[in-house]
Amino acid sequence: MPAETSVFRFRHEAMATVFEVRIRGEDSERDYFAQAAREVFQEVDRLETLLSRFHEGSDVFRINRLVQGEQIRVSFECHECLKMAIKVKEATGGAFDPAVGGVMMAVRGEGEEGTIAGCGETVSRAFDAFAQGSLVVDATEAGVVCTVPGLRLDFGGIGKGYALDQAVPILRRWKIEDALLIAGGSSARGLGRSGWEADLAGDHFRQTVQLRERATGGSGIGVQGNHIVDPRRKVLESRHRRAWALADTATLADALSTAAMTMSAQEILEALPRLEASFGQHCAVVMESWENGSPFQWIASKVDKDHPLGT
Amino acid sequence: MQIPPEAANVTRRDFLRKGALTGAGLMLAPSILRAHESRSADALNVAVIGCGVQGGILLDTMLKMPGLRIQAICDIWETAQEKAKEKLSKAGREGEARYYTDFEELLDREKDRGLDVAIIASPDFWHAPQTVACLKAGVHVYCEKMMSNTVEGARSMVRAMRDTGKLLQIGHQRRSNPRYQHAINQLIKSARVPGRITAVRAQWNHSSSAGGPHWPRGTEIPADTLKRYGYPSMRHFRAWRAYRDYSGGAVSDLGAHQMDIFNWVLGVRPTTLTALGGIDYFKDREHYDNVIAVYEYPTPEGMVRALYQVISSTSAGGGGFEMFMGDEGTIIISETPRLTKAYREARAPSWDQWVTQGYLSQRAVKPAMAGGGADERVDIRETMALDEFGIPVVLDRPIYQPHLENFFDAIRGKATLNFDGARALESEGIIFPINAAVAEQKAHRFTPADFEA
Repeated sequence: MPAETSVFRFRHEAMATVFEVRIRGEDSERDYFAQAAREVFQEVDRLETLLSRFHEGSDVFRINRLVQGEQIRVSFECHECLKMAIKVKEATGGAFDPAVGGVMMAVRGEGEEGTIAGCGETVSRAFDAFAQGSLVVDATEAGVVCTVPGLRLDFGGIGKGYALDQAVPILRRWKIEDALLIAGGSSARGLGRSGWEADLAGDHFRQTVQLRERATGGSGIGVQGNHIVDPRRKVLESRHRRAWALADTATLADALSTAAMTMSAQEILEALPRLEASFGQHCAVVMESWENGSPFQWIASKVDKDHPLGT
Repeated sequence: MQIPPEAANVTRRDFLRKGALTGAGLMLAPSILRAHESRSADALNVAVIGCGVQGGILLDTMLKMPGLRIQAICDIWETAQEKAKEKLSKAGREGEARYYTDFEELLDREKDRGLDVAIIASPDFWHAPQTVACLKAGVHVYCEKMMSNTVEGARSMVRAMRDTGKLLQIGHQRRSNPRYQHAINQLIKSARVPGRITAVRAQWNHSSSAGGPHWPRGTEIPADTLKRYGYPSMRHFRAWRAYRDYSGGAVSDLGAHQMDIFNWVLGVRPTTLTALGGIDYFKDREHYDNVIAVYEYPTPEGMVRALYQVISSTSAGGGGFEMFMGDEGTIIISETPRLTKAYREARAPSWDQWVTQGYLSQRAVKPAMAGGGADERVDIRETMALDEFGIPVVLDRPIYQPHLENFFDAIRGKATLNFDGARALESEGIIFPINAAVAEQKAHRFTPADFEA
């Protein structure tokens, strides 16, 4: 008689949201899966101590307090996020920029930047106050130099996705090959060839994609309201109601979905080949918007076998 | 902005100057860091003995600190060695360390290769033999707390420290945390902000997970290796904190950090310990999962009663903190900044001077005083909140870094240790009797022998 199989779900609060590990396997393995998930959550907690701008002593916390000319060494993980962020920033023409973290917090009236909360439409004031610094990242060694103080780095746009990606080798070490990793209901990465269904759910449509060794990330203004800062136009405004990105890694999917919120369909179409060349990953974007009279658009750099609409 | 390859010959100074002028946000550039200090001739050579979760965190921290060369890594579990190797590799320092299963073999081979320092983060019952061996081999030691699972072990470490003249720092990292130093040395001891302290309370409730195998399939340590290092099974090795032969349980694992703060603030030895506890929830563990301990400290100002609570089945109570309650105010200190607060009693004199002088920051805006105004009139509004203050000191480095820095500075002759073995025994002396006090349901009367080597 074949062994009974189930999907086991394990949850953990971190990075101001909920992380979930789902593992498909035999019922007798539940305790084993629980321990694997526990190691994943330990790693997520560790990454939060490195990457959260709010965690005292984290790499990002330290970077945001550098004075002119100061140099610090950072963790490999922070260095990887910095390099990745710079590559996405280049490929998207600046639509993704983790250096506007302070601006986003200020316009929301949160965090230490709350001093200018309520400035409303004067987002440019927030840019003047919190996005003027300059940080040079060493291309090879894990370190940075502050050339102009004042930059407020925030990995909120990629941190959760990065944590999911870092969980993958842990599950593989535990010899778990059929799993779904989720962060905050906005990032997910599927392991295994059997696939996991992800519903990209908008107000006017719902599209299911299969995550087979693929990841998706979503951004939008449906839950938090209009909180998206456009780093290029320096305004609090998004072009779309929601955007989802598909990529091999959750880090890239997260970053791309954030960038897509302020990019036109044409800009996204032009950016995807650059991202593919830079990361070696096939990417796709789905948007729920009102552009071109369509409730949603699907853009991919080539035919996406996981989606019936193709390009 | 990414610097193209052809620009790679731009000098570091030129590039940084250009970066400063353009103010271009995030930029990538080749070789802008100064040369890595781990390759300099005067770098300290470090061995990490025990490279599990805590050893890995210390290694992460040291990889970001200048002037250290990771010469050797020791762990009986190959998986832990592999993780350490991966950390070094990711840091671009592949090949820097040699890897060992046996710490004595490590000492034999590395002590004549200039080994300066051992960082010991193995299970508690290995701390004493490993520390003593390293000190006797002429190597300075940073050892995680608890010093040992037995007071005899801790005493042997202090004696070895004194006999060899080598440095022994114990990993009570709060002793080097600038926020703790400020709160205790400036706010409580110097400015006497809380007034006369009469009571102390600390807790670290945590919802720990039950049972389980605790290791990926196929990574088991061979049985003869486990046996050689004192473990009947892989479970004993991976879940060592659950066993009495290896540790003191949660009340010592977590309590050691916090009850040390009792001693630091109150400055005298307690006279009496009363403790209750039990294995109330985790029936597969040998240690108590619910403990309440009460100490009596006869300070020069009067008696202080200090309560410590640790429960392993719930995170209720908001994390780990230490609370010092005085007749003029309360100071709550924690490694978690958001839990760090100060409250002023209504009858206390104004704390404005401490805000002005930077000892405190005012968090909550004071509401208009109910009952304020002219004598004949009363101003009635919503219930007045207590004045809430913050402690304006930030730890701008990873949490273990200041204590490690103090240790390495002491080796270089630039500092004295913030918490050497003798002071740690003085502090941990109040913890060793807890489990016996619970088991015997009998108060423990402290004597000098509890605190001395």
